[in-house]
Amino acid sequence: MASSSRAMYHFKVVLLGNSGVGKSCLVNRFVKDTFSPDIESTIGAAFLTQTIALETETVKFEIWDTAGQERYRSLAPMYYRGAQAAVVVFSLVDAESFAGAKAWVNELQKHGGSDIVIALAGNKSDLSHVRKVDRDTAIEYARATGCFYLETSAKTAVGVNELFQQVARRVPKTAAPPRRADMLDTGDSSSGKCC
Amino acid sequence: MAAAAAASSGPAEPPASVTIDGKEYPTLADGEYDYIVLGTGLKECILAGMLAAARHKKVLVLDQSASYGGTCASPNLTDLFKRFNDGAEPPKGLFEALGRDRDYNVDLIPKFMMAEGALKDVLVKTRVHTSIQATAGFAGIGGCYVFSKTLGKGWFSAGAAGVEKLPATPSEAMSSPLLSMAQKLSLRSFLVFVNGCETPQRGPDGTDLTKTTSRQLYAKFFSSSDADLPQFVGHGMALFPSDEYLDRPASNLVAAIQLYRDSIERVKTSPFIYPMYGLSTLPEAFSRLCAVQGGVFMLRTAVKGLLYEDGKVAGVLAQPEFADEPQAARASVVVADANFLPAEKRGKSLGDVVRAICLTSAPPRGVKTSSAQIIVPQAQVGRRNDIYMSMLGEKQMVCAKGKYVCIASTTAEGKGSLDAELKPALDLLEGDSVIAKFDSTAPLYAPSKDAPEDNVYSTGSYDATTHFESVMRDVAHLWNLMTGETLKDFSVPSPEEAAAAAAAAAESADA
Repeated sequence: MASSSRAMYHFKVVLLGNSGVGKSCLVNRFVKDTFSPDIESTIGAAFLTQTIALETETVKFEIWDTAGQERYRSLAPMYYRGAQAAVVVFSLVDAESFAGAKAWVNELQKHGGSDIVIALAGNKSDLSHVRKVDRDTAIEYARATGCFYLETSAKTAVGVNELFQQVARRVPKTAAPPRRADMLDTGDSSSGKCC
Repeated sequence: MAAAAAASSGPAEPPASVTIDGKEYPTLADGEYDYIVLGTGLKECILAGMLAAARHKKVLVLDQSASYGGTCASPNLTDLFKRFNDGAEPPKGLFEALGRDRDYNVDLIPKFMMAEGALKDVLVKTRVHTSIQATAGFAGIGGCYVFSKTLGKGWFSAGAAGVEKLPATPSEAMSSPLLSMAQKLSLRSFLVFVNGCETPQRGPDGTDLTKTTSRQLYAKFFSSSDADLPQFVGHGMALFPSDEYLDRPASNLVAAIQLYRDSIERVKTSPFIYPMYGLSTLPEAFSRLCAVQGGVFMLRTAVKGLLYEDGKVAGVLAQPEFADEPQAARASVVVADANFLPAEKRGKSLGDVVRAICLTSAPPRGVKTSSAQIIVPQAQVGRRNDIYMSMLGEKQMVCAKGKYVCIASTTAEGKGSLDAELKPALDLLEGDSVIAKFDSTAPLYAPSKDAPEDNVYSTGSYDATTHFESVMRDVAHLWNLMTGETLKDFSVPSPEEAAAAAAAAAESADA
């Protein structure tokens, strides 16, 4: 089959952050380019996918929303498992959510993969007139913890594509594609196979 | 998330208090649910997921543990040690001997999935397999072995105790030292019969297998003096844990062998698949199914009691870690792991399941694959129940490189001690290869037999069988009690269908 010479990468990205900071809205803006704060659009889907074209390669994201399990800190380990990148979201108009973001970054650095790329997203930048989290404070925190920081508005779309573009650029392109269920490899060379 | 849940289910702010049977309590979560599920074991998470995804029920799931899985959890070394030592921190030496904490996902119960079994069907129907595919994936189990006390008899020598790989294909069967040539020919004609059954209820010759016992069916194919073949077929292939099946309808035997055949066809080396990173991947994945439909999960929440109104359950009292006092939520149905229920609600214990989790530096003697199941048939060692040993390693992402997780289990027969019950299996481990051993004895409880009058369903506990078929029979039974539907008829709308239904519902709500 003739195909372009562009390399294709699959990456799992998880979203983290306190309830109500706009995680689902960010995903919807990026995947569907819509903003609908009231509708649960992830019904029945384990994750959403979206593709980004970089200069020389194509990156396909599998984007995992928390499905509300962050509300009582009851996210399952499988949620982080195999994630090459995480987007930790807080609301620029909610100082408590910034403290929450710091806790999520901590948790990721403890339980996530060792080379996971962490993006810190200050969301709701359209409400900057009532901003509670200072830009420099967030930048300084991101620098200290090895994350990168961007401000976004899922409502106006500002910064959203840029956020995922940055993630796509920063994830090491050596990462293996996600595992598939039909790979029933036993790990024994004589019997290993992929069906 | 919170906003989305609120949009589809009433007020954004839950009430400040909940009143049950005249008493007022602070509100737990949203305060009102259709079902409250106690425990995050596999059965509880499957049922919670099915109720939310197929029936659009509002579900609250509580567990006092900090991790998912209940009895099906797969803790790391620290958590494993704490669970078996009253919360004590593990000694440093444990990590020096075994390696990094994060490399370990040690199952508390040894079970594998039949590749074409009932759990796989529900995973596919609910599309939960897609989330497992994307995070962990399934591994095929490398081989099934059977213990024989006289291995190689008549071939090399008088025979010696040891394990031999169960043949997985007809050609392996014809070269297996487990069977003589005469036995192979008998087995072959028996398997031709089983293959010819279009349904497990009816033989190709028209025999009504619901009215024939397994013992009677064997008599048609196997010499009456041959004790080995029924053991080989009933315990090695049909995976029955005791000989009770012999006097039950042969349809059960035929169904079990057909499942073995179909599963082995899929995996080739054994009938089993295993979710990488441990069994707790399964309840975790079903919890997500429930959560994406609005189900609420609260770990680190101690269940304090059931609340009743007029003899029927009306809610649950529970205390989250972050709360200063117990809180309550209403629900007219409670589904609970037997361990969450007061003794009188668990039913009678059917016996004890004993398990020994061994973290070792070498595989069991005779095992040549990177993952395995070993069956010690009861008759080989003078017992009524088989002993099983599962072995997993670094390839299945459950332990550090060069280490193995070997779990022996059986139904206790009053031998006095756990080691005595499991001795034939534990003897397969070189003594100095066992770095750490964790023993447990758990009473076996059946799930609620009939629809309970107070609407508190017990999911029971987990038996000693090596796969999830009996677990799924419990799930099917409970689902049928709760909804009147069979698992066969159960289905979940696709995301597109669900979205269309949600849009229609929103439209009619607006109107």
